[in-house]
Amino acid sequence: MKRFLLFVLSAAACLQVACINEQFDLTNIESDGIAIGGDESEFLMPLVTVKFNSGDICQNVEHDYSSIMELREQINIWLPTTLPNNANYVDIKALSNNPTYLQSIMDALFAEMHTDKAKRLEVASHVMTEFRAELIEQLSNSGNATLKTASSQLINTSIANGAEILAQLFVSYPNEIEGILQDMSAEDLIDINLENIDTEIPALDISEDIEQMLTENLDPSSEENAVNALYLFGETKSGFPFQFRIRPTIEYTDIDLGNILIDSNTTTPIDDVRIYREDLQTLFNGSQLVMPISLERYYPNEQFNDNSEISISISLRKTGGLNI
Amino acid sequence: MKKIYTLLFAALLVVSASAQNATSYFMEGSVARSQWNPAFAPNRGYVNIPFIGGIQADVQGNIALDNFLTMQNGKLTTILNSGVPASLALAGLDDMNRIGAGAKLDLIGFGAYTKNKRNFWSVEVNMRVNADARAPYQFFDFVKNGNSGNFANLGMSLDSYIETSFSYSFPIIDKLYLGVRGKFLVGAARVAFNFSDFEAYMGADRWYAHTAGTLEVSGLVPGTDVSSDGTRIYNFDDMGEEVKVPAGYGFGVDIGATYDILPELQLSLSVNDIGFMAWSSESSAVGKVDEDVEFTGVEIGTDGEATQPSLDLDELSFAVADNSGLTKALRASVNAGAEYSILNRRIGFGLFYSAKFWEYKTRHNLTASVNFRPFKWLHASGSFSYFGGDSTAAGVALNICPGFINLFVATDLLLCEKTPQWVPISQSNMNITFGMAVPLGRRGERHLTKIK
Repeated sequence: MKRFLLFVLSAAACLQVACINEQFDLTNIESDGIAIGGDESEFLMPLVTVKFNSGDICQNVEHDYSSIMELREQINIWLPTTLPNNANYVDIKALSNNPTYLQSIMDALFAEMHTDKAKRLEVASHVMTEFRAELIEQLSNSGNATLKTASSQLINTSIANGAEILAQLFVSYPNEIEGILQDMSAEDLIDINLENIDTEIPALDISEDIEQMLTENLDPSSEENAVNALYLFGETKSGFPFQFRIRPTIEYTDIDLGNILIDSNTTTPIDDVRIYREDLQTLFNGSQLVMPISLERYYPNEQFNDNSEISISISLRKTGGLNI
Repeated sequence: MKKIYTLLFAALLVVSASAQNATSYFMEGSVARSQWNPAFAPNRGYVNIPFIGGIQADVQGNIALDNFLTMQNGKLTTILNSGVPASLALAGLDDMNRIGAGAKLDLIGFGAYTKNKRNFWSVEVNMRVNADARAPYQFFDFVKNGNSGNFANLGMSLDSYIETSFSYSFPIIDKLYLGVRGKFLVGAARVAFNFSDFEAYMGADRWYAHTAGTLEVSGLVPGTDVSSDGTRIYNFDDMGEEVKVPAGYGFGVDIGATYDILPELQLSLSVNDIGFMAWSSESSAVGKVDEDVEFTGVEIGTDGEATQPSLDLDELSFAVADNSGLTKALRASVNAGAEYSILNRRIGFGLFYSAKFWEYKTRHNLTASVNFRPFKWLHASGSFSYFGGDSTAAGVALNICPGFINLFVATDLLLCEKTPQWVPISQSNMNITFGMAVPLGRRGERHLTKIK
């Protein structure tokens, strides 16, 4: 009986031991490496939205920092009601670097001035307001006695009266006056440069554990097909009747969002730009958005007002899991 | 998060050695049988061998270990590891995933028949540990796939206490025995948290989280910090380094009865662990949270003014709340059985039902067993259990009680694959009981039919 019992117990013990899987040792569980999501995951996070109104967009010091609204008004004066070839926009760059294009604009303007007195007076008033001294000088230096006489009349007269005189001279002496007006238009239409827009981005109150979740498992910059990576992306919207070109960068980082063409009343995407841990830390700790801006096109038939704005939204994309 | 499931796994390790095994319910000679019903008594008085006199543990749930652990690159890891594919990790999970474990370790135990050989008394000092956890599928989906969702009813509880009991079983009439066990409890530790609401959203427009829940800790001392908004919150980094025991006191009662309808047919019924544990305010900490965090990015307006959103997960921490102590009911259970014996009780056919009122769910167990008693000193049982829709298990039990030793083993792990700690890998329900005692004193004369 004892042997039988011993046999039964031994058999039971062997059976039990035989079913033990040593790999599943509960004292040896790897508990690190926990992440939210995995290699195929993608997380998006809003970071910053910056808005600029017409007061933020201005010409450079050579034009006394005049605002985009003032710029629009001065451009409009020199534009015909109908642009050459029925275009719906003015190529601002071509005004500076394409004399043929500029000439076509001026030819259309002068043709309209010959038939439209209101347009004649509008241009004449602008010249009297902005270029009186230069006008008087050019008239007095001309070889025409009437123009010389007119120059002395313009010295002390009112803008309205002077505009009338200039408008009449335009009709009587178109060749001479067109030449003078073309010289003056160049000051308003050529080399239009906007001042950089710099904006301080305050520190983002994001706790350290969130920052670690986003940055702890990033692949090195040498990894071209990175699984765990950070990117900035976003979009811009503009309510202005202009096409702008911007190139936003973040100061003290290598973040360059690239050349972005913002068209009128459209939303333009900002493509992914890969960033790294140090870049994100700088963003989180507070930084400066530096944005060179230039004009590309002007849409004279579109309106805008003081409430029009450009907005730039920058978001974060994290590919791969979030380590916890 | 790591601390919480480390605690849960520690509890699983503790409970891996034993659980109350349904197969043992009809083992007449076993000392452990009276744990089911205080009206039961072994064949003879006994003294348990300290610490191995009675070891019981059970795990019940709807997920098995291999639903939560897996091999990854040669290492055992959790499904939450980033290297485990989501499809593999989520495949074995239910809408609500539950696991519960209970363990009892007999520290001291002895009992004896009175002179009439019918009444039986016993004294025991046991250490008990109970643990429960539940997590909705959405929680794992969030962790593995990053999908936003609401994982309400995410929770865990773990408590341990020392139980000192006196049990007395006596006949009312020849066929009817009653048993009562009174238990004095000394609390060691309790940790419980439950989120009644837990929402997380991570999108291109905002990151948002809302948590609402409670935390109860007794016996262990969590540290505190001050969050960015000045609220005092709990911090668990150093929890466990300082203990305050005893953390509370309690009282419990087991009541049971057996009735021999016929000499060969016995019915039994008991209600166990009716009582409470009062965790004292001095040794307890209560935390509450009902907070949102939302981050929409900073917005700089045309006037240059910037919004100041914040994203600080500390705001979702449990804040220190008023604490007047915690009184919790014990995890009661109801056990009912019937056994029909033939061949002078050498063979018995039993049916046993048990309902255990755990923290998050009542667990039901229906067991059918065949019991063999070829000799007075040798009892063996085989059983098949059905666990309330979660799973099934087959079990065996063996009680050897010659004059000098009383050895008992019962398990449903005989053939299933297990860890070195004897936790079943693919089986979501587990019971194992082991006991060794020295028989002493007079034999009882309860049964009308004696095995010869």
